[in-house]
Amino acid sequence: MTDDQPGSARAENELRTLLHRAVATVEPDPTALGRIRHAVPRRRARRRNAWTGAVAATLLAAAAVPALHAVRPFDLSGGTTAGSTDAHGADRTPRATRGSTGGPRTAPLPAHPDARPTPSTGTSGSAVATDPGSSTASAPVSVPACLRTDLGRGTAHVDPADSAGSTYGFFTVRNTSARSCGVTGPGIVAATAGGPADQTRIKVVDHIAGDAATALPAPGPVALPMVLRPGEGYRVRFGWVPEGACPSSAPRAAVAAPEAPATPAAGSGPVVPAAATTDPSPSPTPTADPPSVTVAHTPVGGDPTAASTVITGSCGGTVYRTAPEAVPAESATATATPGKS
Amino acid sequence: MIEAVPVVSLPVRRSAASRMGSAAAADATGASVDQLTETYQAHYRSLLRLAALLLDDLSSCEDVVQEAFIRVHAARRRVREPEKTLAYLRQTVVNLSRSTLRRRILGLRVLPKPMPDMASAEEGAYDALERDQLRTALRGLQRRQREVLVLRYYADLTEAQVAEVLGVSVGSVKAYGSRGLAALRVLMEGSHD
Repeated sequence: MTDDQPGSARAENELRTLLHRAVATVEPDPTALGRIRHAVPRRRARRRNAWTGAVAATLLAAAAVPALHAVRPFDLSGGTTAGSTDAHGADRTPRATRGSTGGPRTAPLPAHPDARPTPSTGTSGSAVATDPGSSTASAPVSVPACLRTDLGRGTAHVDPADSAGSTYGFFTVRNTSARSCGVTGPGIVAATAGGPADQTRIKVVDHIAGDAATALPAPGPVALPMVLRPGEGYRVRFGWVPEGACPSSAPRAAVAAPEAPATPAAGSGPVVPAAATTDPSPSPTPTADPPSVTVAHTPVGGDPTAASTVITGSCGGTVYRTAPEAVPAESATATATPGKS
Repeated sequence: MIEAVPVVSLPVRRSAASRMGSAAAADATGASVDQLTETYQAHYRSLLRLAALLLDDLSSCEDVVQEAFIRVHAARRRVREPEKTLAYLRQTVVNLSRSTLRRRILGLRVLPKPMPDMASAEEGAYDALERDQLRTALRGLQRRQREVLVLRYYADLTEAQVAEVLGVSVGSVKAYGSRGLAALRVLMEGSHD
């Protein structure tokens, strides 16, 4: 740089050259266009649904606020607050407005007359006094929101990779508590790179119609909170669509997680379920770590992870996840299956 | 997305129509994706480099520029004016870069990954040194000064255009520019010793 002529054309030109030279080696990430292309329709959908979402949020709030109130007496075991809960709409007259909002997926509320009173009825007083008249038609009445500790028995199921190399599977999480509760959010699906896989090339996105995860069901309306009776659960499906090649040294495996021993987890599918609580303890393979991606689900409420699974053979790609869908109780726990879409 | 539907010929969808359903959205997507590719090829690299001068770690730059593309292309009204797309993109990149820096100052972001040292064989050691000096010096400038210099001399905007992007007066642009140049020179000379 020159020592004189401040602001001169020469200095400006020099700066121009310097600036261009300074970033001449900066090159786009090759996956950038793909990411943008995936994200744009999603963002549009979000904009489009902005006001629909506002309505949904209002409904959610309407359902969740009493639910939150209902949780409090559970924590504080205070009789006074329990009293206030009743004032919040745990009445036996379902509100007319609620009736009209009944999403297809919201499970029928505990308002069933069958002989299965939840032991915690006393504490979660909001669990709706039995009212045979309203029964299943009444939509989200107040049940307490599911605490993280209410949800468990997480399992993961993965199908073998399809011809296109994509891998599909799902996580199932159940209400392991003795009371009904409402799942208030979709939870988190996270993907972590293992071996030579590249974390920066791994994305998790919501599944939308027309995206690359063609085997996932088209997303429908999501009705949260989703009420789970004891034993009932929800399922979050995912599809792993690998993208790009591995660094040449990385070994490629053709099938999903061939080396991980199938843990005899409850209700597991045929292929490699690995409940997070049980240590998957992958048997050491003679070669170096194969590239792998660990896909894990954490329910709303945060850690710990409910279930995870390892997909090997690719170094980057996208996890497409769906919203939770209801899963009936496994065994003879329930006589009536919930309204499953 | 290979079918090259001319964007202009699409029936114009006003914002009200965007609520009408996904079918309408679906057919518009094909065309705009084409346009997206075009815009990407034309501007992504230079915008990434612009961000690289405003920020100091490459992954933030990618994030910022990708987000800018997503925002601008998600708003159909904006992509319907192709001549303005670059301006929208640039503006968004500058704004997002600012908020990225702000977040970092607030400590909400973990330590940024340093820009990878891409000094290659064909690039002399001197060039690499000079490049690093410039980056360090740019970082030493006030944010406004840096923005003005980068927009003015890297993106080659006029003073009026810079003023518009930054939302300040032309007079301020002149002032930031000249002070920025002077400060930069001092910083560069300081690092020579």
